Amino acid sequence: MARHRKWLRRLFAAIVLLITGNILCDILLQVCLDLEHEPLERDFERKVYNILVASKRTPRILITGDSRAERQIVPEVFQQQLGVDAVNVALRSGELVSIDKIFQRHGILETKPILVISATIFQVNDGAVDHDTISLDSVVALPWVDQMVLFRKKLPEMAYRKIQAYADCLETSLRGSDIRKKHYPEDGYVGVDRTLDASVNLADHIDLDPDEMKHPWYQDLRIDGKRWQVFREALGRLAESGSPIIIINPPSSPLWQEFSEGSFIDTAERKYSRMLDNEAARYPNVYCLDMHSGYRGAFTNAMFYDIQHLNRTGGTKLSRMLCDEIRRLKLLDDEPHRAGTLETNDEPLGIEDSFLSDDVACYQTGAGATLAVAGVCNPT
Amino acid sequence: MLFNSYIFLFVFLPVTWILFRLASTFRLTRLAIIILMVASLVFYSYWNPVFVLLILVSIGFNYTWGRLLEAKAPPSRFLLFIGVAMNLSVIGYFKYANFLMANVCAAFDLQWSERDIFLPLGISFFTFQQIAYLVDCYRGITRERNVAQYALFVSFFPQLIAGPIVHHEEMISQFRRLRTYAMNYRNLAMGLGFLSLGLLKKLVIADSLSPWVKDAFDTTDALTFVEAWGAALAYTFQIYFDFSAYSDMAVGLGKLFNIDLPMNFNSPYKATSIIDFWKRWHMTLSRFLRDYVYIPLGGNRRGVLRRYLNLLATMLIGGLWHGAAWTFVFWGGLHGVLLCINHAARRLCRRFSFSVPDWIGWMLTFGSVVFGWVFFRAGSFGRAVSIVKGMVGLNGIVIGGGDLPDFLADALRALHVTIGKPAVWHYFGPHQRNLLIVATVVSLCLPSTWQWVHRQVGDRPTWQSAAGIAVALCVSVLFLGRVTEFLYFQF
Repeated sequence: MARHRKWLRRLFAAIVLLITGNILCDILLQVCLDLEHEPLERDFERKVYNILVASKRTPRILITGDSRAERQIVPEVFQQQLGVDAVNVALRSGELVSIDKIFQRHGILETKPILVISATIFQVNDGAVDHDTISLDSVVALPWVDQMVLFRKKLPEMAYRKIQAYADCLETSLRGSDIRKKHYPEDGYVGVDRTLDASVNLADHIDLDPDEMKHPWYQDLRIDGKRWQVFREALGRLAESGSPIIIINPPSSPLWQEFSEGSFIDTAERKYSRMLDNEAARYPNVYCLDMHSGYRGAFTNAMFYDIQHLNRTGGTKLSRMLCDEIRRLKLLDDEPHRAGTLETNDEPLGIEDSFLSDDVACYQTGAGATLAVAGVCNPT
Repeated sequence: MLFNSYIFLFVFLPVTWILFRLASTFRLTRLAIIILMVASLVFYSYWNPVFVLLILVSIGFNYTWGRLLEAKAPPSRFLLFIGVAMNLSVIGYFKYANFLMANVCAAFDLQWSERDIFLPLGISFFTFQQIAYLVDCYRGITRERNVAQYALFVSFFPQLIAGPIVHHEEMISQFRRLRTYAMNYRNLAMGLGFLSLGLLKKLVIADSLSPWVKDAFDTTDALTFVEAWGAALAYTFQIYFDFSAYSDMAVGLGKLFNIDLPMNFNSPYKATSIIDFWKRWHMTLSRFLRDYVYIPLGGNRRGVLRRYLNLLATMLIGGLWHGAAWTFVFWGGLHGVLLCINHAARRLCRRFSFSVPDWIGWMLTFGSVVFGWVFFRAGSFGRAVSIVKGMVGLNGIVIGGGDLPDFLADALRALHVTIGKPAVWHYFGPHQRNLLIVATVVSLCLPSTWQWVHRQVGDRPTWQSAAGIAVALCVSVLFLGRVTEFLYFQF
């Protein structure tokens, strides 16, 4: 009996040691490694480094953000329409906090380029903490207690992500940053030529009941919590640089809009747009472009390759619209049209009537390739 | 309430244990029994409070009927029949009514729409346990005088939902002995050992296999050779780690309250014959089927042919016990046939003084069990057949071999093997493959939880085992957020 008593004491001591050891080790590593300033999204940093730093390029317009910018905003259009250099350094799942860290490290904002940033709802959703929906930069930007709260249902995921971060950081401090050379065609733009099949019934693939929703962006949708704070702080730091910033809540296909109209997703997207609007209004150099609620009808299903992403045709059109907005705001003249938010009800510039009616015709026929429902299921 | 949930581990269990210990310390044994009984009912009501009424009525009826059976001398076969029939009618309504009506109506070409009947959790377990009690009363093996103890025997929360299936006498004798209410550090240590390892098996291995099993079995796509074997093996290990983990946790929880629950798994995948497999898999169900179905049918006392028929009937009932579907019946029947073949082969081997090497026996047994699990898991007979077709190569063989040397790739192509990424779902992702390897090593090469805990915690408690259990517990708590139900809850 005494042996077992001793064993229980040892068990208790081991549990206490493990828990406190892990917590202390975690806090110490986070403080010592200065993770708050170390960019941890290496692919993102590699793209910025190769396109901007290695080639010493200082473009006037810098497109960045997540896959919605990576695959939807074409630098060539800006070059043609505005006659200035533009590059696209957006990347799938790219978050504002990573952009801020990478740009700060490499002094990208010293020349005050115009930033065009896509910011999709997933990056402020506290319920989206899967591998593809939260970056390491976001994880370490949160206070320790908030990390625990945010990941309370997915603690192994958090442990795994943090071990990744520490290992990466230690490796960098030992060997130096390994930013390999990589070629990015089309100035970083990733064009997709497929077309969405609008004849697919989305109800067969997606359940809009909040309890049944499986999509990691929209599952457990909570958008004004801890990740929103991280987003706001990152936006504040970027705004402080003085660069004009156009932040976009990107458009989605009419197919998706019709399907999700009035659902909890639509409500959340509209709320998110309002939050972006209000946040942009706090800075004289930040403009918000709500393409979820506004500009409906400007894009047809034929301009998308899946229900969330524009194809090359749609991307070209969105880029033209952005050029018009930059002209309208006189951002290139260093003399802004007005501070604050864009009116999303404004008639989008550059949409010729004939062009629009062609698009509507395309949408009605709904011809195209297969619908990548994975586009809904895979985060940007 | 699930064993692998925060509310159970950090609220329900500590509160119940402290109250039980307090009552025991002051020698209030009746109060201790009542505390455990009330806690068990709270535990059960957490899913659906309405069904507490069902279990209370069932307890009340069976207790009264048991007393009636005890009082009759000589024991009344008629009373026993009524008692068993009442129990079977309850489980028949909740579990088999839809299945029965659907088949009857299909046979007579009648219209039938399925009724929305909610299956109460653990009904198969607590009903069969009470049928066994009535039979034991009839046989004069057991007697019951205390309704609280009887209620606790049926509702004791560690084994209420998914077993182990216990005999009345083995539980009541423990409730009656004073030692149960004394502080026992050995049991406490072993209880924590079983609980931690059970949590680890369930949360880390079984639940990690779960999404791949779901993807493969719940689709209508034809799986190729590798995909089909991946799916079948994943389910083979999922069900073992899920159910044996539940049993380990149940045994551990019992130990925390000084109650010994019987062993339910003894490394079943190490079995070298089907007979051996059924001595190691869900041992308390096998014991129940043997004592209350096989032996009453005549067992092996009425000739070889009758023995085989009894075996087949017992296993068919065992299959049907798991669920109201033809796939379960087929699974039971398949194991019945395999048991008959195994017995016949043994007779032949004995006659010709020949013995099958263990490794051949193991391969045959494991292969048969894996094929059996496909029918057990598949949503329909058609889906099971489709997966079995994939397993025997009728849906083609596709392997992910982008890095294979040309000569090897050519040789494989000559054997009609397609090189490329399997279409829908495959098991050559490193994570899936590694987990299957871990599951194989744990289930085939390591001692069972029962053996390890008895040896390393019960007999020779060492600091290494304390550290191991601490790590298991901490890792399990990390995985607690991923709450999934136990597979056997549906039975």
